[in-house]
Amino acid sequence: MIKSGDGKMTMADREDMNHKTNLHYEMEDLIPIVGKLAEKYTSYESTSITYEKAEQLMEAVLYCIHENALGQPGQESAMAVLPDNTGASLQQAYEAGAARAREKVKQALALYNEILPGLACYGNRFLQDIFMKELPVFFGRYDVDFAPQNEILTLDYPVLKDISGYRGIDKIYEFIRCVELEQKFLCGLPEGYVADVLGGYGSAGGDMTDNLCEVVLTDMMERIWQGENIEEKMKNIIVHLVKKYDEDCAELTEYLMEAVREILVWQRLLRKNIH
Amino acid sequence: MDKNWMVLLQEQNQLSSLMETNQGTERFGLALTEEDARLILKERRHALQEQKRVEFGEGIVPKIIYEFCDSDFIDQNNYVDMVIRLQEIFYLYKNEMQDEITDDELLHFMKEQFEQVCFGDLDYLEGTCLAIFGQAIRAGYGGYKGSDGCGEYGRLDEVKRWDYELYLDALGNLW
Repeated sequence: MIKSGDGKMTMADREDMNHKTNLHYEMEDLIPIVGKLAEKYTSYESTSITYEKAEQLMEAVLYCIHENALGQPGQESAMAVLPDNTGASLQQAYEAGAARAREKVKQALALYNEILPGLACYGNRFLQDIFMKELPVFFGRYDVDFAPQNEILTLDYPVLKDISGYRGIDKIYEFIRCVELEQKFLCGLPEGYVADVLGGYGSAGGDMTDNLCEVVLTDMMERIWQGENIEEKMKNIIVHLVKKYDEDCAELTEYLMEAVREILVWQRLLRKNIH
Repeated sequence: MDKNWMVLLQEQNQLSSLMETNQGTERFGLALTEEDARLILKERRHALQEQKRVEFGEGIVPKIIYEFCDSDFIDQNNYVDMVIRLQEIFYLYKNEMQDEITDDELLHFMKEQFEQVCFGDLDYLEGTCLAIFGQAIRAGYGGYKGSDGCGEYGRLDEVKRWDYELYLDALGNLW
């Protein structure tokens, strides 16, 4: 679903980000940066903007500064760009962060284009809608200069990793990465098996709203639901499966094990209630 | 969100840039004292708060002054009051026109109507000329983009104005 409004950052969110990124600055340090961005936004043709727009631009500046501090996927934090908190270094941090956000858009688009031709949705309407309809809209409408904090989409397909802490292109990138991992896992399983499990699941409950891997993993766990150390058994199975097509299987294994642990908790609760 | 940063954003270099306008307006018999400038800036803050807008850089007041300083209807006696009212009207119509129009386009439109249609009547400028123009812009009118805001009102005016040539002819016939 396409969001109608901007995702706004609260003061608490900002303090949390400050804490996570070890950044400390006063709002007044950001004023010159917001002023310059506002001038650019109005193409130097207006000397004033609405409160709403000013807030959006301030959030854009904060987003980029934190983007710089958090670094790119697979890289260490780029805090070296921020040696102190003078106005000049904050401006540099903002510019570096904005460049990183633009780079991440390119990476997300490349990843999306890589996944799309082989994407198997197994009847999951949410996943299909996001990839076929909503992400193209996102890449067309995402405003990396003046609203990079806004991810536009609601991302109704539930991935196994908690991405609620991400915003803007970070969130979209993480979402696509999760789907990439899931597709890798599902494609490595025997062809008929996944179709059988997901086909049956979808036809029983109408539109499938659950995560594809979660459904498959639940089925696998039900099949081995005897004896002890189920988590360990599942991990061995997953590592075995994943190794066949991904030598560096740690990320995908951990991604799937999140779901396994969650399913185990639910199964135990269910069994406890039955007994 | 804490709005203090918005106040900080709009309090940069305002007083000095306002005082500098005296260099350009003195030849029209207009000058601001520092007290006048402070009053204008105080009223500017109110107007911006009222319209929920935030201003950056030098702000609009110097531009208003340079646009209107050669007006036939502004003299030293009403100069400060006029500037204060003009900035209120300006911010109001930036909002009413949903920021579709640039500062220069709006100022040119205001000045032209102020001189040629309103004859210095700011209430008429605000309540009639700008109201009609704002309504047209909200409805999608974009003709002002090519004209920089000049010569627009004739296309939208609902009132039949004086035909000055006809008037002068008639006057000539009387004598």
